[in-house]
Amino acid sequence: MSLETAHGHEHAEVTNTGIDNRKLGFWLFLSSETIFFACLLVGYLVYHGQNGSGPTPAELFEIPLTSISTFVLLMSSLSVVLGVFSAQQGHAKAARGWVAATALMGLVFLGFQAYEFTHFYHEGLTLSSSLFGTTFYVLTGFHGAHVAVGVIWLLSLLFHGRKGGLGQDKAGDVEIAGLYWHFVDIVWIVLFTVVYLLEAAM
Amino acid sequence: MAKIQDRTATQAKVVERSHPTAKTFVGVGLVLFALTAAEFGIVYLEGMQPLVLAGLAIFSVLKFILVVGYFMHLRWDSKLLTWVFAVGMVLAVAIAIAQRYVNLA
Repeated sequence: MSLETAHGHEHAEVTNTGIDNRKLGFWLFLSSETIFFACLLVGYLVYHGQNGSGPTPAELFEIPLTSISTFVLLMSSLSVVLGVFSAQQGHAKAARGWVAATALMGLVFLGFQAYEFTHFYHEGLTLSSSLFGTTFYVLTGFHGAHVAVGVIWLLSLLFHGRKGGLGQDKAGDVEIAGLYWHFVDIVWIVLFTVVYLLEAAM
Repeated sequence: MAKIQDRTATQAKVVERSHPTAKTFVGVGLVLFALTAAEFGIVYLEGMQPLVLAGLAIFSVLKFILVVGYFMHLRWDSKLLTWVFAVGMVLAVAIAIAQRYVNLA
């Protein structure tokens, strides 16, 4: 048995909350992910300043470049929410276009991160060069891995919608993928401020 | 029967608050762009140093709230989802505070 949900055109399992069970479960997952990233960020902050003989964050960070990649990720959040909206409205082809644009921007962000990691490596910052290197690569690397998973997820949505687009029948799937993508975005909002901007401001 | 009525009422409440438009999302996107530019500006503009810490904290919290509230639909969805996410956030902040005390000890 199923019930109409808030958007009026999907079907969710009956629960006593009135919420799509997949959505509720996914929010629980995101809640746990928040704790995961908090632990990684705290680890980074605990060892802040322990650069050993390696380069310091001030010597490495290129804030203008990271600001551009941050902008790209923020705009990808806008494009995925427009994809969800289009799918819910039944604009299947438009939804597919927005999801494709989001995946593309995710790839651009990953390209920026690959460039940054390569540049830092050549400057002498490795996973084992200092505690700063270890915590920085683990923290931003896990975020990048989440972005990569998001891109794969979006590409799989595009594959499923290759014929009829992403219409109302797939709106729930696009929405869940969108929630994940936004979560990756808000994690970066915090990392960009704490790891990069505060370092530049100090 | 009463349970079914409660359930229907809850769902009706969710539906009632579900009216974001594409224009709303584009507007939020523009605000996010402006806030990111402001973050960049406050770090690099001369004379802004006293405001940097407070400014960055305010701007990033605003960006966080905009994405979670508008893009992730929490503003329109059931309050239960907000509570579910809030529990994670509270635990995350508690971990950071606990670390601070452990570090001081």
